[in-house]
Amino acid sequence: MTCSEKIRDRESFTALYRTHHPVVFRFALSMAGDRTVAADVTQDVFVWLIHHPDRFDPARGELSSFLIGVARKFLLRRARSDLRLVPLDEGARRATERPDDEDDEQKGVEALRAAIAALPPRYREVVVLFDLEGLTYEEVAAAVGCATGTVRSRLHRARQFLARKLESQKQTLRCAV
Amino acid sequence: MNTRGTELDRAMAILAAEHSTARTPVSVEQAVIAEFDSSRPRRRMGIAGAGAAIAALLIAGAFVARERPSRSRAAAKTVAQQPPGLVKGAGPVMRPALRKRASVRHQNIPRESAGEPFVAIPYTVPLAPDERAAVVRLALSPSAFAAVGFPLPAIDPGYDTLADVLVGEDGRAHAIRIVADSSFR
Repeated sequence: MTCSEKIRDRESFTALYRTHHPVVFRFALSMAGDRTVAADVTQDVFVWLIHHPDRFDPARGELSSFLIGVARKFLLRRARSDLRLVPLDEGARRATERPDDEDDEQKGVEALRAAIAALPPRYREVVVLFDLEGLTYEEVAAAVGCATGTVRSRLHRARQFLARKLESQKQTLRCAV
Repeated sequence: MNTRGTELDRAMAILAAEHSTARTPVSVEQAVIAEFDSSRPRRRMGIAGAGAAIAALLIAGAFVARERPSRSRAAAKTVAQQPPGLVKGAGPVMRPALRKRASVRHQNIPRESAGEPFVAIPYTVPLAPDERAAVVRLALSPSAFAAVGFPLPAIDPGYDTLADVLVGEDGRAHAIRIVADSSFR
């Protein structure tokens, strides 16, 4: 059974959804930083797949990479439409603030999370896919739609940025103490 | 840089572990499967419709094949069991006595009288164009003929005469024809 036939068959499609939805949802969550948006994007991706079963070409890569590519486009579209909205930064920040009694390690993780969220999308997506999702360079390249070398260079720059951010966060904490 | 890298890797590993615990809401799967089901009705309806049409045709064919012979058989049987004299509305009602003497001799149209025309029994409603009819051969007494409007120049009133009676779907006699050279007993 080919992939497009699997997409057309109910049972196969359900199995396919159950296999691939976690990676799509987590990618959307990391990129959007919002569970509701991530759920919407995941739904949009699979609904799109239902209506375009022939668009996936197995010769060009794995289905998960393809689905992440679709999710990326949905996120981009959503980001463009959300430009008209002004985020409530203060409220959001307060809601995500952690209590002061957290250990340094957890603070470092939160700082990293914030730093990843602050990365430009093209760097953020490679970090999410390679470091958090554990995809290979080739899979990331297929999902993002660029060369493997580009993925490597973006990842390198992103890591440098994140390391600097973490270091500055640590310095701030030392000064505060 | 090396220390920074180690710290970053450690934090990244913790974040990756936390990241992997994120779960998609169940409502997403339900919505996606509902969309899948709603996007395929035309095809499923097409298959179901074709199946239903084939089944309906088969049933109709079987019904027609079964009904045709049984109807004519049933009609003949009914007529055979009920002589024209007992059939309501078959022109002038024949006397009950006729019932005892009338007997069915043949179910099929007899060859010797096939060319003879049927004569309509007076005051009966003619057969509808699509109405089925059965021909029943009966032995009728001269008085029965007289009762339905056909007085015979009977030689002997004790002799019965063979006649083909055209019986409609409702069991009423509509026409009659005398079988040539049929006087007996």
